[in-house]
Amino acid sequence: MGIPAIMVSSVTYALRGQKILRSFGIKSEIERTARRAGEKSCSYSIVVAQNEADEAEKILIKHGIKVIGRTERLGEK
Amino acid sequence: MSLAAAEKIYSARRTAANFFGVENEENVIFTPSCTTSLNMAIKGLLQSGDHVVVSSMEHNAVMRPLERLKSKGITYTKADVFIGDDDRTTDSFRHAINAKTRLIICTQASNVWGIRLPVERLCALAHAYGLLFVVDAAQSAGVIPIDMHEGYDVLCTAGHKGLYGPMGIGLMILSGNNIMQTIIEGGTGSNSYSLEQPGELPDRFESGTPNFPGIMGLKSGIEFVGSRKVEKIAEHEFKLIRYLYNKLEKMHGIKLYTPMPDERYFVPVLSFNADGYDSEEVAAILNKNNIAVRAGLHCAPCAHEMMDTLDCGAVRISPSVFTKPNDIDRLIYVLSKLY
Repeated sequence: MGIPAIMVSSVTYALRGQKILRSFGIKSEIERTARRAGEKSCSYSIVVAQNEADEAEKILIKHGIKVIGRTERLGEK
Repeated sequence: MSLAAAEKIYSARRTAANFFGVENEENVIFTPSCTTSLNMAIKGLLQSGDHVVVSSMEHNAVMRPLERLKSKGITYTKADVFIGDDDRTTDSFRHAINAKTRLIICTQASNVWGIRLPVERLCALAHAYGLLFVVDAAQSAGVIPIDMHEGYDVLCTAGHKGLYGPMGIGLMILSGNNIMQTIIEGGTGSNSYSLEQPGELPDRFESGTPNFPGIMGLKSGIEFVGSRKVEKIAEHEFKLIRYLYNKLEKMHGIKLYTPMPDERYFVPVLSFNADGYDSEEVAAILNKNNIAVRAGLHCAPCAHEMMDTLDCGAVRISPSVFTKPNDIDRLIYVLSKLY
């Protein structure tokens, strides 16, 4: 299982999401979402630790960040 | 766009959001100019059959789009502005509203005469009638504290005036809940598989390569204004304008059009004419003496119509935080040599 990456629709959402997560003590990184065969991606992802992914996603949604899905960080698969 | 550049732009968005009292950074849209912002708001909000109320002092950035939209069945009414009488001005706007009115749009301060409009009251009036309110803060941002919590639906402003940014950058700030249509669509670096323009802010209104140098310059400008404090900047500029007004009032051949500007009803801008000279001629003389002013109609013929200066224009003095009393003395000296 790779490192989880929470996909959001824009870089602005990614950056705001990162700031929100930081305020909850969750460290994250931002990267372009990996494009894989069959995936319609051209977005940014907030990469978090495996054990914090579910909590992070809930926090993001609660704070108005539009989450479009979950993937794994670039180069991890 | 690289992530590093995106982080810088996000940081600029945060700076502007803090300055204008906006909660969410994505509600700050960077545009090429205030004119672009106003076009986006006007054309994005109005539909055929709608009616708009504007003030009698609007810039062509508002009037020309509205004139263009007449061909689509959109009409407008100009509400008179009464200097120093906000009750009467508000009444004038109220009387201009009709059953088809969808929007009130007005300048916060005339770019020619510096006359302030009671935009907080006009915004409340608009909402009381179920209308949208758009404010043009090109001449006021940086000298009047502005807070989006007043309820403005859209605020448009220029970067290069009181915000001390470079030319070629403007802002459109949205309240959280409007449903504007776009007038420009294209690549946003997001949702690229879809041929539909994204709905999310700011991407919805920021197609194309961002003006990174302009955005960074505007960020620095806003930080500068924030560090100097808007109220202090205005106080400094008003002191200069009042000093100038007192001198010009007594000067032979100089015509002033407004009462002595004070903070309640004006921003620190003063326009005048000199008998026997065209306004452009006066500006050229001042320019030769290294005094930079703007003459003519200032792209605001409606504001000139109000003072009956459409034929001659006017010479506008617009001090900055860097203008010193001896700069004003130099201006007075050069004008005194006209006669």
